[in-house]
Parts: sequence; structure tokens; C-alpha cells
Amino acid sequence: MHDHKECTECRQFLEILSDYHDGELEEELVARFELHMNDCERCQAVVKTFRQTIVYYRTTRCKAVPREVHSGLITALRACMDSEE
Amino acid sequence: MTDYTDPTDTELVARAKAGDTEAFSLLVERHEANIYGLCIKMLRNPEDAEDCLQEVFVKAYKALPTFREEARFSTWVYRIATNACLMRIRKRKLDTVSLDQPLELGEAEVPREIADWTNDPASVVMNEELGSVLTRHINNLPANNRIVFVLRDVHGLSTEEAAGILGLSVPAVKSRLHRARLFLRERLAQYYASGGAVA
Ligand SMILES: [Zn+2]
Repeated sequence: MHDHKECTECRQFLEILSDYHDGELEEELVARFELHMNDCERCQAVVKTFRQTIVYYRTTRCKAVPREVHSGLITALRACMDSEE
Repeated sequence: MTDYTDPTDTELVARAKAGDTEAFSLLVERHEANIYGLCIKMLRNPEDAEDCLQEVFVKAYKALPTFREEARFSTWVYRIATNACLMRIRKRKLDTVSLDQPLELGEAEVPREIADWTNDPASVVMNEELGSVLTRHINNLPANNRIVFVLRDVHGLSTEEAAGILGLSVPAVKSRLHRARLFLRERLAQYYASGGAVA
């Protein structure tokens, strides 16, 4: 195990994590990163937890507004529509 | 009862433009959760979010005659909503700092921990505690990073869509998103490293 904090390669790969995650990284860099990860448990963990973080936040998306918020919105819109007529 | 499928947004917009207020109400029903969710995450409190939600759809209703159908209705409303949220944040004096400050990860930038908490059984289920931890962390992001993260990763818009909505270049969106993701991952790692008790 090498020292992750001092490793310039780990540092560089941190900068391309989003591109890697989004599938926008050049093939050559993907290959280099994956080769590095074979020996680097920290980068493996970082990639997995990076992905998991995004998955978690995806689940926090609002699926429905509270009923009173919806009716408040409809009331505000009705007022606006009536004043325009 | 019907012999037609749900009307598309484009059809509803055309009807609303012709004065059909019912069609506009249907558009509201379709998009209010997304806009409310965006407002909550940006403004960080339900009262302001509700107020902003009303502002956004009233603005959209009034501006509907100027809406050009080259854009999707959802994108257009997102743009109105992001402008409204950012304007409100600018008006709150205390928050201006967080809007303009670049996101510094500092020492935490290179992760120290090795832990892979994705296999932690406690992390598998999205529970109430984790939910409030996620909220606390996203609330600590500067607004410029938060808005990009919310559009891209929470709402699943493409980089190009987010760039169009925010009037930013694609590289600027990518860079803000990346900072936000690193920050949130790091904070979550700290949370798990501390046994999930504090974060
Ligand atoms: Zn590494």
C-alpha cells in the first residue's frame, strides 16, 4: 500500500473522477486509472463512495409537493389568471 | 373515458397560449414537484420555497406568450426557477458570501480515509437520519455549486441542459459539479468515519 495522501497519481485521479463516473473520460485515461486502482484500495473506495453519494442524493429528489403547498399555488395562480381576464 | 393519451407538454403549452387555463394547470401539476424540490434545496426552508414556487409559476404564466417552443417547457421553467432562487439568495445579505465564494476543499481534498462504507448495512437504507445528514451537507455547499449539483445529480439533467439553464459554459458546469461532488462525498465519508453520530 502506498501513501495515498502523498501520491500524485491519486491526486490526479481525484480530478478526473467526475469524468470517469460520467463515462466522459478518454479510453487511455480510463485504462490508466483502472490499472492504478488494481493496486490502490483507497482510490477503489473513493470511486465507490463517490458513486454512492450521488445515488443517495438522487433519492432526495422531491416527488410531490405537500397538499397545502399545491393548493396555495393554485390559489395564487387563480388570482393571477382572474386579474388578467 | 378517453381515446387519447396524455397530452404532451408542447400540446398543453399551445392550448395554454390560446387561453386554456386548465391546460396551464396541468403543466403546473406536472412540474410543481421539481420546481418545489429545487426551491427547497436552494432556499433551505419550506416557507421561502413555497413563496418562490408561486413566484415561478405566476411568472411563467405571465411570460407564456414569449415562450418559444424550441426549448422544452421543463427547461424554461427550471430557468425561471433558478433565476428566482439565485435572486433571493443574493438579496439575503448573509448568503452573498456563500454564493460568490469558490468551493475550497483544502486539506480534505485528498481523501485520508480508506473506508468503503457502501457495504455498511447501515448505509444501505435511506433512513430519516441519513436524509437529514444529506440535507445538512448540501446546505453547506455554496449556492453556485449547489444549483449545479441539484440540476445535474438530483434532477438528472444533462450537463448541456444545466449549462443552458444557468447561462454557463459546459466546462464551468462540469467544474462546479465536480467540486460539489467531492465536497459531499468527503462530508459523507467523515460522517461514516465518525460512526454516523455527527457530521
Ligand atoms: Zn490511488
